[in-house]
Amino acid sequence: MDQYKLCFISCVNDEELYEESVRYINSLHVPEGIVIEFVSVRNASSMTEGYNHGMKMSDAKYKIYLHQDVFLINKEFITEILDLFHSHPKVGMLGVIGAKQIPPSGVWWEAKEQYGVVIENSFNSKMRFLSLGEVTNDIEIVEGIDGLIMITQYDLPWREDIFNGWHFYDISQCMEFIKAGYHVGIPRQNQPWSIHDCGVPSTESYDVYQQIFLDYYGVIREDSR
Amino acid sequence: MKVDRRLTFLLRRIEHDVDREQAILEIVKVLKEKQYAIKDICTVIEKDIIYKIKVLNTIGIGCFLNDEYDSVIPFLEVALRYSPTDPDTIYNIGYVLTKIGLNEEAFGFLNQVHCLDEGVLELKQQIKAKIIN
Repeated sequence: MDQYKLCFISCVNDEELYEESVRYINSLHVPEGIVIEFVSVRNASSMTEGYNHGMKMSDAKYKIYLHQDVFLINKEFITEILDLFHSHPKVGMLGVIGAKQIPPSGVWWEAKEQYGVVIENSFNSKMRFLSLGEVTNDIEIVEGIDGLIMITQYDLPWREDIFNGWHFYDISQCMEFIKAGYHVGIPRQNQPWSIHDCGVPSTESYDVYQQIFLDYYGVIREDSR
Repeated sequence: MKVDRRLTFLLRRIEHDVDREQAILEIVKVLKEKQYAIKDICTVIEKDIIYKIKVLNTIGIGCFLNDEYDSVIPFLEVALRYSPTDPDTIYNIGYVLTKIGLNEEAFGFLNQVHCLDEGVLELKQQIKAKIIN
């Protein structure tokens, strides 16, 4: 693994949107000695399949899995995540919003204790700050992060054998990291690090994957508490 | 590219300093070529932009610096409607008015608004001196 390399991985089905997302990444400050690369996966059959394909294509130690409609606006994003990962080797994965504990429904945003901040437009398609609980330390350790952006310092396979669609791949991956002994966290963001231009999201087959998640991880989650 | 999306992308780049100068020039160009009206841009700002006042001021001044004079004050006026006490907007309106020779109007405007910002007060003094001389 190349510890001086970061790879930005996206599943793409909208070229204009992805091009815009890349424009923001190219405007970030890249510390001296660090190399960034891009892997875009087209025609993925699922998020997990696409991300596994992207993961295998790169030898970068640090991988940033992000939706094609996410724009990184913190110019010091790269420096900050490298500093955090160096200081917290047990933290395997970071996100920008998520939940302290995944509730019985498996739906992270139904949790009582939520953390992080993002600029997004899922509510009524008008951009707004989504400010959840404030992270006061470097990192808040959580159980689940939203899949809009998932930043890793270790490679673990995405469960394409179970989640062959577009939902619950994110919370599944959080469970996989926790099972492997790593922490998942949300960093302190003085200003939002990202914009998620998602609009009102599709919920097609959401309940199907919710049930798969509950069936597969229910026992593991109970045992870990 | 869809109309709204193109404008959104350009305005958001200005908002977050991503290829900002190029985005300003593109906005000025679409205004000059009448591909979009001021109100189209303001509609997108209302829906898609968080830092509305910053973007409106940037476009207003961008129009001024690139000879798209008819659009300058309208953008700054929209910014003023969002925040009637914003010192940057007040300064920019006063500055633009005096630069196009409307010193009396600039002074009258700065007298109307309640703003104790150092830059605005200094500008007011400079305009007053021009009127007296």
